[in-house]
Amino acid sequence: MRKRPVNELPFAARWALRAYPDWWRERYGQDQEMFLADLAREGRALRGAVVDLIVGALRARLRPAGMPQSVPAWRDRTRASIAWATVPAMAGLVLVTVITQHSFLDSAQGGSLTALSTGGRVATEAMSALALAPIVLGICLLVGWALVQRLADRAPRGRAGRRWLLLVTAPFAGGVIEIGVSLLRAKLSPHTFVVSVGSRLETVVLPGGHPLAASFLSTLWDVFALASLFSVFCVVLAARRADLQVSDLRGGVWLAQFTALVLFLVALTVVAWGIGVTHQAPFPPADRLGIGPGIRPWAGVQTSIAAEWPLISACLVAISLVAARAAITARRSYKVARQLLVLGA
Amino acid sequence: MKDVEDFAGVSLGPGTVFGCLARLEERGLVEPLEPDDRRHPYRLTAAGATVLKEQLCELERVTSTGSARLDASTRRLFGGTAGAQA
Repeated sequence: MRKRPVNELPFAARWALRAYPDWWRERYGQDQEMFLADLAREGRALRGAVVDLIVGALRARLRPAGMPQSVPAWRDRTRASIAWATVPAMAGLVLVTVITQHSFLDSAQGGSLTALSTGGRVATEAMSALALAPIVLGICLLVGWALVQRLADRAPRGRAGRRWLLLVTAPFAGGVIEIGVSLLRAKLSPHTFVVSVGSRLETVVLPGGHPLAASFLSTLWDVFALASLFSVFCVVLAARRADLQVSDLRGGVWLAQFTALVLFLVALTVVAWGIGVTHQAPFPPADRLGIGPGIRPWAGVQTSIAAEWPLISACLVAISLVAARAAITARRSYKVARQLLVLGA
Repeated sequence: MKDVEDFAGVSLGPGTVFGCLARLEERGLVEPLEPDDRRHPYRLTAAGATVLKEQLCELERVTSTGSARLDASTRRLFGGTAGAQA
């Protein structure tokens, strides 16, 4: 019997080995473990080897040299690609949540601020579109969840089955929290605007609760955005643990393509928003805008947006490119898996 | 890997080594043998030997051309300097 030294390896090394696709691990996994064990036995630092493994795993997933022409291998590749297209979409949702906290839209929509330039109008329209993005992505998450539900009869049994059920239930709990937080936010957040009407400043306070409640709910909103990301992981893990057939992946492939497209459009919109805000002429010092307990001068908001948007846009564009590549791979792999299935491979 | 490290002075990581191995196997240049006690040995195929020979010949041609040109320029440079010193 062959010795399995993998348990003696550091956690990072074991994790890096698990980052490879299943077919790769079946073929080269044991040899790679031996290689790492030899390095550890010689007293060498494994940091470089772990980085090398992670790069290798990424390469094996992007360009699977020597991948066997078998249905399970291509089915798993399709499933992994669907995950790589949908998980980034939820990471994008977190970034969009950060952006929509800038209250440019609410104040500009009031129509009381100094006239908007073309840049300001573009930013306002972009922000309106961005407000829809979390809803669309939330619907995608629900569709993904519904697709995984259909696998219930092929879920693992016993203790693993209970864990599977927990994974499938987690997104549902996330959805309930989302609706609750949204309702509370609408009820409790005080909306205070100071707007300029001609040469005068007027304060408009919409009904709301205590300022601390608004602050608390704002934090809860961020937590929810992260919970959505967690929910997608749960759905992906649940799909991984069920006995998937190639035909089960059809809906997932469409979902991956759709979420990747939405994310790409969101990335473009964020770029337009950032350019629009930075091209809006500065408002006079009298103009203020705000939502919730703090009312900030517009110039300060504009400065903070100008500082943040290039980084956020760059992250979103990078994430959307990963998702797009994964969606294309999912479609191609699904086609190959179907062909192999027909050929009886 | 120790052999590569000894003669080339390059330390290859497991991701790089097995990535190369997978590509070579895909192109039919190496093939796996029956596993021994610990590892899967690999063997060069006939096609692999041909490609390796071509690559080595190419390398040899480059090194011999480079060496010849280096010698010529060294002779010009140091020969000229020696002449000037004399």
